[in-house]
Amino acid sequence: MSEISAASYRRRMALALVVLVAAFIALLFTSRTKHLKPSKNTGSTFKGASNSNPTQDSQTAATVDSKQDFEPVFEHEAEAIGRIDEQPAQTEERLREWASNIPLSEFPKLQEKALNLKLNGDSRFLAVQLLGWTGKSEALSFLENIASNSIPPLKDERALSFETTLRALAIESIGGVGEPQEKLASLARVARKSEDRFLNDRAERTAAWVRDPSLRSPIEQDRLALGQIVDN
Amino acid sequence: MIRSFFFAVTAMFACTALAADLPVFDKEFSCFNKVDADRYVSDFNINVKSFGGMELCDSKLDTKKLFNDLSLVEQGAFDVAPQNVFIRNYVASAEYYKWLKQQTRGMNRGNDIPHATAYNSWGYFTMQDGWATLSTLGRVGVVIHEARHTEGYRHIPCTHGPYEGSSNDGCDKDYEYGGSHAVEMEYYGRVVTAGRNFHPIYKSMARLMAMGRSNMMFNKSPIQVREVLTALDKDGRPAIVDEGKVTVRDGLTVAPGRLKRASHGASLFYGKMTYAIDLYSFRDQNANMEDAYSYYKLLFLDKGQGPDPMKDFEEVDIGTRRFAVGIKNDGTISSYQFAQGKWGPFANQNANAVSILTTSPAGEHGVFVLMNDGSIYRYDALKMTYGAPLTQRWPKELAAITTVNGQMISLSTDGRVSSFQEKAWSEFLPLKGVSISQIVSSPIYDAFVVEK
Repeated sequence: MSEISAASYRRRMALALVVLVAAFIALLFTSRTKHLKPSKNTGSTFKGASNSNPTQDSQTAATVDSKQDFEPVFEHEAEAIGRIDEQPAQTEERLREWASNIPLSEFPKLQEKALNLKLNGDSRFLAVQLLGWTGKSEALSFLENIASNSIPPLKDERALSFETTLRALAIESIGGVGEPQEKLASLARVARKSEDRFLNDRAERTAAWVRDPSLRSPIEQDRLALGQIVDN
Repeated sequence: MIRSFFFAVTAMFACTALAADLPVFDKEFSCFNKVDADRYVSDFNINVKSFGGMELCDSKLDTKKLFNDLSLVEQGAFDVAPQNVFIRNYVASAEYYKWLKQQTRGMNRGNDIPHATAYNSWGYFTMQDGWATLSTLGRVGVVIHEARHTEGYRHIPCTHGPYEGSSNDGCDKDYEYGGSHAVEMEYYGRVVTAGRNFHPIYKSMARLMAMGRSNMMFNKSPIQVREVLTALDKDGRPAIVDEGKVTVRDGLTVAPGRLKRASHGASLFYGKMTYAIDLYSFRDQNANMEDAYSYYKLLFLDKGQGPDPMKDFEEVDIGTRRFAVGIKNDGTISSYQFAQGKWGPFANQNANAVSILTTSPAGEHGVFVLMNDGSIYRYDALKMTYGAPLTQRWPKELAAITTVNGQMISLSTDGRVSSFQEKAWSEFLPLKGVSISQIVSSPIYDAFVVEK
């Protein structure tokens, strides 16, 4: 090999290496983009919602659990709540998958978001829902803190309604994390602190369901009752 | 070489382009369609300037929030299911946008009535600061709520909840009235049960908002708990009677106290504490469960009642208001002051006071005090004062009386249970032949009763 051709060979090898690295990075972004890109057809926020490949969804969810990615993804997921969603079942599946991969280190932040009066309601509700959907027993104490946090003395009746609703979701979510005895003890502590009739009712419904899972869950009970009220 | 270079450039470009496609980096990700925005401004006569100026992309600005809300109203779709006896159809499910447009003469943003979320003045809606900080569902609910006011529906004073006693009328009589709260609740209910293209968390919020507000904003709630009869046999073993079916449940490992209705079901009262009866399933025999869910929990909290056991205690709902009333051993009586988080002063001492009743012998629901001579006094738990005695005294042969889903059921001192049907008492067949020591009606948390 001549000296000129050897230099040419080194340049080609370096270029090939750059190409390989670029291709690898492109692949990484491709998998994320499939998950997160907004849909142009439906107005739905994320194209990933229509992704029918659960394996791919699962892999994608795993890519957003780093500290670096959590905040921007959380913000966009919160914004998506206020959008038309043509495939809500897939969205829920995707969010549950994401929640199950959220590291424990983010749990305190989710609690902080949930109780932050300066954040918008969608973000706060998402924070509670994600804690519940983690399915991890470590989430229980955070949910209990949210559920039993005193409702601030707000003058706006709707703001009060929201605070109650948020805590009701936290109570229901306690029913989905941890061992039955832990859940029951937690629900009893929440009920003891609460003087809100709706929250106490929620705590007891959830506890009854934890004690006997063959009962209708509070969510099923709500759906049945609301189904009788409206025209369906 | 050229080919390699071309590939490298293409790959790098692709990488950059893909990064830009990520919504978190995409400035266009959340932008609203200008044509639709202009149409909304025109359809609803939106004072764009008051909302902060035209904004299509930044969701933190109120104009963009309003556009989002209106697009949800316009594009939200509902499955059409067979109609049934509960049909209200205050607003046709396919016509929310059209209806909203008809009821809206203009939309402004202001903060001239800060304690309100929004108000409607002759079809002109003014969204206050509180509106801007709500969730998307909350904002959409407000818009729908306000639109109903244009049709002439007004609120009345609340008999309970955050607006009770307020000079601002905030409640509707009931769901049947079809006012702003009913229309709003119908929307939430539809989102939950028939919504086709709503985000799952939006639906989750709608479900809890509907259930929570049904209890707060109607003076007569459309959704109530279902009731069963709880009975203790002569050995203290509990059973529930649900629509004629008897199911035996676990007893406690201690001697039975006095059977009480509690907001969660039923409990046994021991003066200083209560144990809950599990109405749903069998439990570990050795695990007596303290009642932490109902207001019987007040017994083991220091809320100003002093260290001594209570002679009697009742948690009772009258209308949509809940009361906790206690009699001490010295015959003084008081009710718990929820707003202050403590008992009112124990007063009106009467050494003859035996127990608190929540159903009179005639079947009237309320708070009554039974005296040891059989006389019965009405007790106003709100004012904490005794009223006049009832004309009817407590019959000697009557051990207990209660109402279950509106039906009167009594227990005689010889252990027989009767029900009041067709203007006469007759044997209560589900418990025929069983010697019963105590009965009470209990709410059961496996379903709601929806009023027709």
